[in-house]
Parts: sequence; C-alpha cells; structure tokens
Amino acid sequence: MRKMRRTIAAALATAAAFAAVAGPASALTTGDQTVGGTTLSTLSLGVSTPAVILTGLAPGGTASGTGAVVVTSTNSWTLKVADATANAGHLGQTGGTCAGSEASTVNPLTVTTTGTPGNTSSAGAKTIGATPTTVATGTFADALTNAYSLLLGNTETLLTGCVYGTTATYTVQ
Amino acid sequence: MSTTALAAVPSPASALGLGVSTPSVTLANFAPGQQASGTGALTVSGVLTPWTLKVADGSGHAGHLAPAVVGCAGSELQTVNALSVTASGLLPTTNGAGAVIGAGSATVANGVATDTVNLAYRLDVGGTEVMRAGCVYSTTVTYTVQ
Repeated sequence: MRKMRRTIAAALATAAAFAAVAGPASALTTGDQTVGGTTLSTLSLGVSTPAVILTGLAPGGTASGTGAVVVTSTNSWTLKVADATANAGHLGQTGGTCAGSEASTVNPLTVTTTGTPGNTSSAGAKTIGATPTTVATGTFADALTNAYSLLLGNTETLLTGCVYGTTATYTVQ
Repeated sequence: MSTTALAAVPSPASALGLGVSTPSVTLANFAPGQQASGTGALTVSGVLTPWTLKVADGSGHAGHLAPAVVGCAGSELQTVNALSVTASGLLPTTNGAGAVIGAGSATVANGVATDTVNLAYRLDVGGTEVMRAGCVYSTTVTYTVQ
C-alpha cells in the first residue's frame, strides 16, 4: 500500500512537469520591423495623350481639344511648350485631300495648362511658337490638362477632308 | 513509469522564438513614379511543431508609409499604396507567400523547423504623388509567429 502511494505521487509529479515545459511552445512571439525610405529628387514628364484631336476646325470657327501631361517631381518645376517644327505653332497640312487648301493656318495654336490648385500655377492662355513659352509652374508632382484653342479666320481656304496638324513639345525643368 | 515519462518531456528549445535580424529596412528607389524596394530578415527558432508567420501594421498606417514630422512640408500624409511583402525561407519545408500589408494580420510563411525568413518589400509610388525630396517616409510592421 505504501509503495502504491509513492508510484501515484511520482506519476502526478511527472504530469505536472510535462505541462510546465510544454506551455511556452504555444505562446505568441512578435517582432517589429521599421520599413521606410527617403524621397529621392526626381523630375520627369509623361504625355498622357500623345495625339489630340481638335474639333470645330472650319473657317470662322474656333477649333479646340484637350490633352494631358503628368509632371513627376519632388521639387519646384517649370513647364514650357514650343513647336520645333517648321509650323511654329500653326497647323500645317498632314494628310487627306488638300489641293488648293491653305498650306497652314493663319493663326497659331494657343494652350492653357491647368493643374491642382495650390500645387500648380497656370500661366494662362499662351500662344505656341518656335520659342519655348512657360505655360505652368508647380511645386510637386501633378497631372496637368492642356486646353488647346485655334481661331480660324472667315477667309481661310480650308478644304473639307484636309487634315491639319503640328507637334507641340513640352519641357519640364 | 515516471522515469520513462520524464524522458519524453520536450526540451525548452521547443518554445517558439522570433528574432528580427534587420530591425530597420531601407527602401531604395523611393520616389514618385518608381517602385521602391528593400529586403529584411527574421529568424523563427526553437521549433518542433508547425508554425505560421503573420504580418500586420498596427501603427495606424495600415501598411502605408507616413512622412516624418520634419522635412516633409507639403508632402502626402501617406503613400497612396500600401507596402507589400514576399517571404521566403531557406529550408524547403518553409513555404513563403506574398501579401499586401494592412491593419489585419496576413500570413506570409509557414514551416516546421527553425529557419531564416527573408522578406522582400515593395511599394509602387504613383507618378503624381506629392512628395518633397529628402522627406523620410516609414511605418512599422509587426510579425507574429505562432
């Protein structure tokens, strides 16, 4: 009888020891990691709409169309536009049936560039020419809208179906 | 009987442990219009049973990076996108996964043995995100092994 009691006591002690050791295996363990980066200086320009179609291109009317560019910058920037082609801001014939039509529009294109208020300042309506003209300035990155306008004279000879166009080049610095 | 039972008791080494090998991870290429990236590592130790590694951002940013108080005037209050992380172990028994880090826990790895878990972070920064050059963005992510 005395021997039996010792055996039971030993078994209970074993069970208690087992539970005490196994406990930590199910405990949660956590660790923190700080992830971060320092903003690099960057400046780039993306053209969201490589081709802009003007509507209302007819004598006596005002043709208009809208394009977009994205300035990606971490510093103050200035956006300029120029037409480096021989058209110098005027639209020249680029296709279609143009026999007898004006070689180029009498007036040059104008553009008004706008962005997010408080970030981008518009220079207002600017005439596009061979020389770069500032159309907007800004502080940080922004998506910009370019609203084009072209006033066509009543006496301009424009044949139906004649395609006019030019290429405006934007530079950010 | 008691002697046999004591021999089967797991050693204290079976307790889970999580070591943070790289407490601070620096993301390279951190700028608008870029994909920032960086690597870190953890060590899951003392394992005799299957484990699961989870990640969450309990800092209030929910995985987005927030600017420092100084040097960031005018910058975004947080990145548009959240961090993502892809975990991978050195052992073939460790299974890694990718997850976008948020406020809730996401499983990024599981295994059955002590292993080093490598962590590849990535953050796509939008081209129009307003960030001042030199501004430091960061957050703290918390890993849990169980």
